[in-house]
Amino acid sequence: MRSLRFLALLSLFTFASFAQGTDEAAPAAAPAKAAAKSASSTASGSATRSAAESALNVLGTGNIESNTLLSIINKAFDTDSDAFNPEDGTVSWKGHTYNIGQFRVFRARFERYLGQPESIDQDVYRAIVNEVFSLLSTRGGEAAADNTRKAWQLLYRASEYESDGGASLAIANQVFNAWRIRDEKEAIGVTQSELGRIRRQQQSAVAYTGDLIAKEGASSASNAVSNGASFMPGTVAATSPSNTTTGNSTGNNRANQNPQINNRPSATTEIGGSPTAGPVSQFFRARELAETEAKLKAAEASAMLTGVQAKLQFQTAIVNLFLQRRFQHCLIAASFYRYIFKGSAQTLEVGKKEVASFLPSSDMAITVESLEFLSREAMNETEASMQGVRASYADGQLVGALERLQETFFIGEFLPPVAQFEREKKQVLLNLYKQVDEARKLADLKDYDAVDKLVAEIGLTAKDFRTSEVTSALRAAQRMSTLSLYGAQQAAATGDYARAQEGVQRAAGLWPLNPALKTYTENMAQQVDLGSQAAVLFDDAFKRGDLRRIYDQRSELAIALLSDAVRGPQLKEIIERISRVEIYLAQAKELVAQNNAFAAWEALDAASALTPNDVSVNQRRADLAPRVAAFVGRVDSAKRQEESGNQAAALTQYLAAQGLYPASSLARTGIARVSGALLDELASAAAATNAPEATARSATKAAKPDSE
Amino acid sequence: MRRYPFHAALRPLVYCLSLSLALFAAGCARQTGEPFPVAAYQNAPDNLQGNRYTLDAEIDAQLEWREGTGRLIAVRPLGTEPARLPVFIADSLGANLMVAQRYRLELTVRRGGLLYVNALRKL
Repeated sequence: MRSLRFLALLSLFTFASFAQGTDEAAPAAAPAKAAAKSASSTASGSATRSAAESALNVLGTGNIESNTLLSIINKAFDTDSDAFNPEDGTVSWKGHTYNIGQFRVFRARFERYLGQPESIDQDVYRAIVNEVFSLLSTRGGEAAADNTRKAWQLLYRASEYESDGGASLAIANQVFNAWRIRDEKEAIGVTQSELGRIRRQQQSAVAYTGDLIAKEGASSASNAVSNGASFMPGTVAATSPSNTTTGNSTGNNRANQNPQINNRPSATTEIGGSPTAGPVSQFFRARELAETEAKLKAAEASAMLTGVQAKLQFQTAIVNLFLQRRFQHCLIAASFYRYIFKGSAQTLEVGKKEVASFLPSSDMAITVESLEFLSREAMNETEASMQGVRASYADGQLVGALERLQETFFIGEFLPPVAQFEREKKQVLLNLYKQVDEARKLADLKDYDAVDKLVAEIGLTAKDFRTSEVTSALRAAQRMSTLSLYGAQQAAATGDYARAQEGVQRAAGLWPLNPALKTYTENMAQQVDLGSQAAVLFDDAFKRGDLRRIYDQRSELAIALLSDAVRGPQLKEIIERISRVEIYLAQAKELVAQNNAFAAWEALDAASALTPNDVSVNQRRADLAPRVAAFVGRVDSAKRQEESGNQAAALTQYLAAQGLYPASSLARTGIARVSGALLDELASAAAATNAPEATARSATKAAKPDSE
Repeated sequence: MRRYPFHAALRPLVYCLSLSLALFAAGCARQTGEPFPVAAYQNAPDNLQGNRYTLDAEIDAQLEWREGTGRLIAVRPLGTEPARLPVFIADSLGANLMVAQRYRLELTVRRGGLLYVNALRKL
């Protein structure tokens, strides 16, 4: 049953699936887009691939982009895969699965798109976006910075339009963030250079002091011991704070540092009137140098981290725009990215796995240009597909146009070619979309009559709608339903109610609204009702011996009691009996017409034997009785005598009756019957008597033959 | 010489006549039975059970025969209303009966109205 239903709806859903998204219509139709793109008219996927390969060979473009294109075409228009998966609300494009949310929501979006009028806002918005593209395309030259800044400002204007969906604002913010991070990085660069300068000074001081200690250590070692050179920690302490603040890159700090540098000799200890340097002060100077080195490293790390963070954030935004099918914005963001980050930062660090699924080779370097390329590819395909939609529409191939439009809408929902599709055409396709959706729902309900009408209407609108296939499938389902019902009726007639029920269920499963089902159900109800009534009627008439009533309603009773194991055979026997009675009645009527009253009466008597209580027979007999009273009296008397065992008297009466009507079969058969019985009695009696006495009596009679 | 009276001379003749009459009377023994009441029998045969009658009748048809027992014969009474009566003639009587033969039947009305022929003589 299910297979039959599937066959019935297959043709319809092959087309209608674009409304439901459960079939392979989209991937099956996708090669057409590939064919359009590769300037080939063929519609098959293999032909598309062949055309693309041929074109590449002719152009000699065996580079990676061309191979990518070929691979993309193959993946995107793979007829063995489903583009739409309504169960998890995803759509596949170029082998990648887009999550479009609830399919019901997506359907609503598509219907809204079809019903959406064109607005001036759309034109303004498209103009703004085009202006952004124009500004970003002239990055070369001195005006590059101004153009980029203007484009960035236009993004804020573009984000005010509904169709933008906030994508422009996200890009603008990302650009602003990148610029801010760049400023921070520049500040860190200044700090780094200052720390470098301080480090150099500290290195010089440490080296000088070290040399001085080494020089003086050898010549005045004894003086130093005798003078009891002492360590003056206050001097070092006075200088240390100022040295430790070199991490601060403000001008004040620099001003504080200069005296220290200029007073380098004061950093040494005056011993014996000559400048000297102690090991303790040298220790502190070395520590200050180490601290400066650490700060410098920290600044370098901070600068590096800030740059990486900005790059990753921007790349994340670009990948998100691509995955959201905001291909225009993806291109805009990529342009900004390229302007902000230099060539060494073009390799994609985030979303590589997602983007790699769009590309044919896993070992390819995934860059921002890859995303740009894929986005342009999607935009080009959308443009080509929309041309195909318009061409199909112009040819009256509305079903094909609707299919192509929906496929294109899945990918290019936010692209201008889709948004610019004419309102009038969208309205026509929306009507077709609703009709097909309604037909699908009706087919789900198996309301084949309504589907038939609707399909006929669709066929008038769309030349490429396969009306005949749908109609034939409907007819097949209807015929199968009716045949199953016939089988059920036959099974019910033979009392096989289990098979009848199965047949009815099958018929209802195939076509629940089958009119014959209603008739069958009503008939069955009547039959059940009549069956219960008929049983009562039959039993009552049978009990009263009113076989005539049963015979008169034999047709209804025959149907109702056909499956009655007890009453059925009884009814059959009664019908046969009354049929014979009817023959006797007809025969009697004819005999009366021939003035043969005795024969007529005998016919009625035979009928009466079959139905003693039959009113018709008894009435005829009563009518005829006066004419055959004597004969009837003898026959009746004979029957009574016969019933009472007086065989001889009965024989006498039968002979008397036969005297009145010599041709009487009643008398003849009665005489034969009673004679036999009488002789049997006599034989029994003779055997019972005393045999010798009988023998003697016989001998006596035999001895007197002459006297007799 | 002794003289014999006249009636003495007729005495042998009287003896002969008496013997002849006796013999004749013996040969017509069933003539002495009452004639069979046909109508009464047909209306109520039970009322005649046990009676003996004489019936002159013509053989109409043989209804049934059982070897060793006898036969049922339909006879038409003579001198009465047209009727047909069944009589039983035992085989022991050894009668040779044919249709249309006329007999004088000495019969008894037995249980059930059976007309049992005790003796018969062709007329």
